Amino acid sequence: MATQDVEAAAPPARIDTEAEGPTSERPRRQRYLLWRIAGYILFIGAWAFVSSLTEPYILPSPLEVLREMGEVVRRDDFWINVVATLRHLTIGFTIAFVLGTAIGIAMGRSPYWDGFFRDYVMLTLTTPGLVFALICVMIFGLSTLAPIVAIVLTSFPHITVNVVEGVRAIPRDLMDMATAYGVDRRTRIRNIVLPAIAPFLFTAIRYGFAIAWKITALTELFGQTDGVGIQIRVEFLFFDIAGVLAWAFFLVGFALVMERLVLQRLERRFFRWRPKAYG
Amino acid sequence: MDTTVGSGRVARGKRSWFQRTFVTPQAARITAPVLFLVAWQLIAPLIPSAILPMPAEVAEAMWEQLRDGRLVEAFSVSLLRLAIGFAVALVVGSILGLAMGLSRRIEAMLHDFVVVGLTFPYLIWGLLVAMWFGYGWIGPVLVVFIAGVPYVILNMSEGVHDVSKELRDMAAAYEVPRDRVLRHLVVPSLSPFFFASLRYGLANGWKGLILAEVFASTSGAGWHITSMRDYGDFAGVVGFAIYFALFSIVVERLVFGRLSRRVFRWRPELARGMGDPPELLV
Amino acid sequence: MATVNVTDLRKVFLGEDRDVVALDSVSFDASGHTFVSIVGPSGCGKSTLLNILAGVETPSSGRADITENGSRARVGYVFQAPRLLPWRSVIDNMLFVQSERTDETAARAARYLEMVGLAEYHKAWPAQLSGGMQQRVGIARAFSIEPDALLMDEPFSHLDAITARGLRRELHSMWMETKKTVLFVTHDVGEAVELSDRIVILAKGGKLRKDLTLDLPFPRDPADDKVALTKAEVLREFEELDLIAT
Repeated sequence: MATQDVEAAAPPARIDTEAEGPTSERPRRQRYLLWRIAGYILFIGAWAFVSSLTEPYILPSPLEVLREMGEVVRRDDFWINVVATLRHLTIGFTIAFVLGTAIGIAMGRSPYWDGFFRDYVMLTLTTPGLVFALICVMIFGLSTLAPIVAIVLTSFPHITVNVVEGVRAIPRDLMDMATAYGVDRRTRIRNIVLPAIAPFLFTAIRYGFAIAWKITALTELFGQTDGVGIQIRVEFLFFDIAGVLAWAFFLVGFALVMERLVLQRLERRFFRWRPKAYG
Repeated sequence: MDTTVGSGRVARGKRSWFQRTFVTPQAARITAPVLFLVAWQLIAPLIPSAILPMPAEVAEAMWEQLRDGRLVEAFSVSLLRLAIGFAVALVVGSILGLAMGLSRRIEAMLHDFVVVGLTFPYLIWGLLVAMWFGYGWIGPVLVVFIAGVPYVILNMSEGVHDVSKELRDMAAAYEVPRDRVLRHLVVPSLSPFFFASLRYGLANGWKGLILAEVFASTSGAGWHITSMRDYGDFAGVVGFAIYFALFSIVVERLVFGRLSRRVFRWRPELARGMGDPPELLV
Repeated sequence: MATVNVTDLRKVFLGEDRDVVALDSVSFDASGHTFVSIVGPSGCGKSTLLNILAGVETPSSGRADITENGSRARVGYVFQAPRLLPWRSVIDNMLFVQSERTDETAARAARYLEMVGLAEYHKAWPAQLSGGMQQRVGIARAFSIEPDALLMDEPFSHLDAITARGLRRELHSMWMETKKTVLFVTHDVGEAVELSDRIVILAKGGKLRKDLTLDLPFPRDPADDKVALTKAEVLREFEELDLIAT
């Protein structure tokens, strides 16, 4: 079969044996690595400087906080609390995700359900988490239900909002193509609906999870008998700034690990097909 | 699966009066809270610990709070703190955001801190400022600033990036001096992002504020609702929670909804702006 | 090879202030190894006709079927835009539309990909291919289900002239080789004259105005005198119907 001369001679430059996906950010940042490091040095330097001017119990130096973190990890109850928090988080977020997705699909496909849930979703996005934490602790007391319910109530709207957008973004032209070819429903869902929604699901998980772990700590602080939140409350009651900072870094570190090692890895795998972003 | 594509209005079958009144999206918006209230009324007596107050009690508590001015007082204090803290956040954040948008070097330097600022739990800020500044105004206002600034920076720098490359190239081709480019090209295209800064910066500043007031002050909405819990005024807590919710809805719909639509007449897809853009998470 | 029957087909789109008649009592038939072009200005219902035949839209009244030995025919569809799943490789896109996933259909898909000269790109993502190449995949995809009939909706209108010319030649050889019933929608009279043995002209308002049979032998070189003359004749018919003015 005679092929088009012009095209065969010059295959598109876009063919890339190591198609990377949405990581065009990486090369850009590596170019300015020095500046990035400079930022960190400035920050730690400023911190160390200010802490040297104040009493250690007001602003501990970076080194002291590091030491405190080491000490906290070595405590007997450290892992018990971490596991407890992870348990609340996992259960709560899973329920939030399932609920949020179901409601999101309903809202995306039906104007009625959109009207039904819209106010609550909007409300939850701006109402302070404190309110939910307080009420859940009020109702459920010291039981595990408190953080779990709080997570579900505050996290599912973030999932929903993104799923709704995902549903609306399902490409009509591809669905029509599938109809024209008589493709069955299951194949359509697997090959069109799910991949189209995937990026929105990732966003949903990001937002939902970010809220979830913060609410977990907050609710635990007000109620629980175990969990990271309790530890933070103890540090606060003892006026241990180093302790509070230590836990803060643990929390942020956890969030970054989830983002970097879990989500971004998954994303790279899922979105290999994307054309490299311009620039 | 839906096979009718672009076929315009489908001739509908006759809908009953009931359907037309109750099965519309508008009706759904009313049905939802009504159902909620009914469920509440039915479930509350079933919970043994009697800690969940009945709707009637809550309504009464809400009325009391309104009447004796506690509601207005608490919210006024909080809103004033929000305004002060956010004003500073807006100024500082805009400068930093613009700098980040215009200079790749500065962006590299500050990027990670903005990301951490977005992820850092407000709870910790609240505790820290409580320990540093005790009870008062400084703590909460500072937290408003800390919570809001990353969103301002984010949106402003995104706004700078969003300035059309074609227009920028055109300006470069004509060798337009930098300050003119800034004034006539960059700043005007920034307005939707400025607006998004307001929206998300205020929303998050508010959340941080309320939490900070719990630990670092003796006034304001956050302190108020927590102190009611400490005193066992559960009906008051739930009532005040409802006030929070109403406040959110009112502000979102009236202020931002309307304003947002007017500002984004020409580019409706920007009406959402940047909440916590995941692409920037490290 | 299939039989196309369109009888008194009407399609009306209900609009805000007025209704749009896309197809107005259109009737025609086609069967066997034939290439029918449906020509007309934009907005005259050509695509709607194809959509109805493909089962993507339903008629307001009348009938449109494509049958093969009495039952519904297998139909391949090529769109203006390639409509490839961006998150699936080229070969997976071909497999997506097969009725069953067997070794046989997989081999078949590979064969047709080879036929359009893109075998080496079978694992590529659509985004890595140029517009012309993506459209070739679309064509290969349509052929690969070995349909009885082929519906094509202005498949080359979004491509540059050089690529389009090459693809027209490719399409023609594939049609000669596989002997299908082809319905080809276009607004380009020259294209219709080059490819088809029959031209159906639809006017604005959805009426079928002319049904022309072209007697020229294949293959047709656009530069050939006789072809140019035929093209002029058809254009005249077109103009007579006062189509171009609208």
